[in-house]
Amino acid sequence: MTKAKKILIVDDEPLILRSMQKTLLRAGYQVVPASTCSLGLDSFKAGLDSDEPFDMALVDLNMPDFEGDEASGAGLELISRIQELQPGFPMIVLSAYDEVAKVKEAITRGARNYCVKGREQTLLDQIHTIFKEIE
Amino acid sequence: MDIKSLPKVLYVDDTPDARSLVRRVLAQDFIVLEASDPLNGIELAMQTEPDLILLDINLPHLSGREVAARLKSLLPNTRLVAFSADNSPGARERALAAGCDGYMTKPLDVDTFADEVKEYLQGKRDVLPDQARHERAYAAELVEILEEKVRELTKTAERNAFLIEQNKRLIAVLERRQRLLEAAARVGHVITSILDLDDLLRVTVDVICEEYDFYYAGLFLCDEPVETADAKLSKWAVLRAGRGEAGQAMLTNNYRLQIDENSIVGTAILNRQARIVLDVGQEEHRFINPYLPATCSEMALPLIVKGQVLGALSVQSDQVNAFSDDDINTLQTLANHVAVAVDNALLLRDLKQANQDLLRNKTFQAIAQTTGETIHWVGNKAAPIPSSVNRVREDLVRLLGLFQALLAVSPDQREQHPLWPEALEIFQTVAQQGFKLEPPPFIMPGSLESILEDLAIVEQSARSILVIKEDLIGPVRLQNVVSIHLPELLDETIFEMGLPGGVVKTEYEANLPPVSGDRRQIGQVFNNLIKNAWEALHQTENPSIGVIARYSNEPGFLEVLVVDNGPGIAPEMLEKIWVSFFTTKGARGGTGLGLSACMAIVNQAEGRIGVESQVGVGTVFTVMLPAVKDQ
Repeated sequence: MTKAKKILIVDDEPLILRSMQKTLLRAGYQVVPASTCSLGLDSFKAGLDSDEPFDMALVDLNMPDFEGDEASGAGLELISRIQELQPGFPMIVLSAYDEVAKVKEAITRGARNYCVKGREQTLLDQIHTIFKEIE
Repeated sequence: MDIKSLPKVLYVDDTPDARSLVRRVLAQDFIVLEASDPLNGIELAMQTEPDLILLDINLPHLSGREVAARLKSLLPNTRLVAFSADNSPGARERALAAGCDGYMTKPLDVDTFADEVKEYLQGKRDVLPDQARHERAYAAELVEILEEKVRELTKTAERNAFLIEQNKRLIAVLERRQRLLEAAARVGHVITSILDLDDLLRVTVDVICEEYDFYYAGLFLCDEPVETADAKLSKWAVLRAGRGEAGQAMLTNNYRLQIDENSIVGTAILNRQARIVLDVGQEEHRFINPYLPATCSEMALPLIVKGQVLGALSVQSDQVNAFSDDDINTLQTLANHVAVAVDNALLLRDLKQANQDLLRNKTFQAIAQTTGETIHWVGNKAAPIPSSVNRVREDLVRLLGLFQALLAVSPDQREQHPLWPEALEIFQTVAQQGFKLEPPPFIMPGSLESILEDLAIVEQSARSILVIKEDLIGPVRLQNVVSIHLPELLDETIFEMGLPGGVVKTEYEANLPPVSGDRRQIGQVFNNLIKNAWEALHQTENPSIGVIARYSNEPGFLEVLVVDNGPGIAPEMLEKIWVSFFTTKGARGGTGLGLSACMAIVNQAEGRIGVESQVGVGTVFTVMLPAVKDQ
């Protein structure tokens, strides 16, 4: 049996974060939740340094920035930093419907896909597809 | 010598030089009084009663002889001497016959003149050889002169009477003209200070009737012009203000006149000039207004401003020939004032309307945005619910599986069952959570169904919230702005809707340029509007939906009108239809997001959406979209 894939989820909405975590756990993934951009980046770096690096990251677009100030779209910055550390690392952005411009920006920064929040089944399908593509 | 004892001589002559000479010559021996004309001479003579009067026979106004006769009769004791340059034959005789005591000729002899005067003072009297004959001749002559005078005076009196009559008339005319001009100025002043159109029209007819004393005045305005192939023409002149009870009755009955030559008002508007009928009885084909049966003369003046006829002023009198040229002139001046004031009031009204529209649009935009943000927030909060419900359902089924597995083994075997530790853990968790596990007092029938049903309710409610979020925000999420050929898009949209044949009638202006916007979204807007129209028509007998695409009055824009003949929207509802979740469809469905989403889409396309509706007549939705500029 192959080892469970390890996924990082970064979202500042605790309930959404927890719900996604549970959904992914049940789907058989290893999940590391992070509630801020900084914590998310720290977890990712820790993963890189360990013998169990992450296989994927799910990043919310709308989060306070690294300094903790309210800023919409700080998720973009996190995507860029992670892509700097590991170019081509698979990521999915979590968004609301009316964020087309930001979603496009996220894709150009290296995200593989986007998922509208509240559609966790769709999210699972997307994760599955991406892993299949990689293998 | 005492001056006062000197004899007084009055010298009547119209030449100053002659008077000055005589004064110098006589000053030594006489008190010299002077008069330059016979009337003054007679008056002075009466006041001073001189001893002798020297009279120039050739005087203006009255002939010297008449003066002589008059003086002689007034002052019979005063000596009267004619002093004349007239040496013609008979002059001396005529003077003496007229009553003069002596006759002296000019020029005077300085050396002898004073003495000659003294002689007459002392009683010298020139006597004619045939005095009686001369006196008769003079009397006859006098009678003749008097007759002539009487004739002249009679003529003059007649002429005076005529002139006085003329003057009276002129004064009356001038007074009336003055009054009318003042009235016109007053009306002009009053009306230009009124900005409300209805007030303006009402005050104008009242002031005209009061100032000019006409029994009726009315103001008509042309209705909205209808565009024809050649021009924009109004069909009706609608009464907007009328004097008195008749006016009130006409207004109540929406009185209007067709703009043609069958009415005086219609003719005035059509021909753009005043139409005046001084005796309506003489008119062959006159239209008789049942509200104003007493009218005998009537006038209609067009209200023209900037070359455009706005309407007409109707003035009516219960007398024939009631209008003078002055009336007509000043009323036309007044009509011009009224036209300008009406034009201003109309402009102001349009401006206010535009302002209100703008404000309303902004308000709805703000409401739509707030609603959108709220729904977004609520949607985000609801996002985890469906997944949570799924997991609860999954776990419930697992618990039931556990329940079943443990029930399947005998009680003494249960602790050996591989799932026993899991069951124990569940009981411990329940205890930790503070729940008390006790046997139920009764067995609840269908408790599992109830749990599943509740889960379904939670899940369904959460999904509704998420779907609405998508409906509201979804349409605006993607923008793929392209050039859209409106007639093509409209035809496509209508075709795809599959409405019964003949319901939708399209009317596209030729050669319309494309508009810019997201084709799919704009199509959704039209779909939504036509669908709304169709749903509004479900109880209308001959349902009809008009779809019109044409140039907008606003440069750079095209507009699409969706017109239905349905029940219309009540004015108080018109404000609400743009608000999210508002629906007029009641139980017949619809989330009520349609129009607010339409507004969001049209606003995003830099267009505008609006509605006009009349209960019982129908509704018109107008979508304005920007024409593609590089055309």
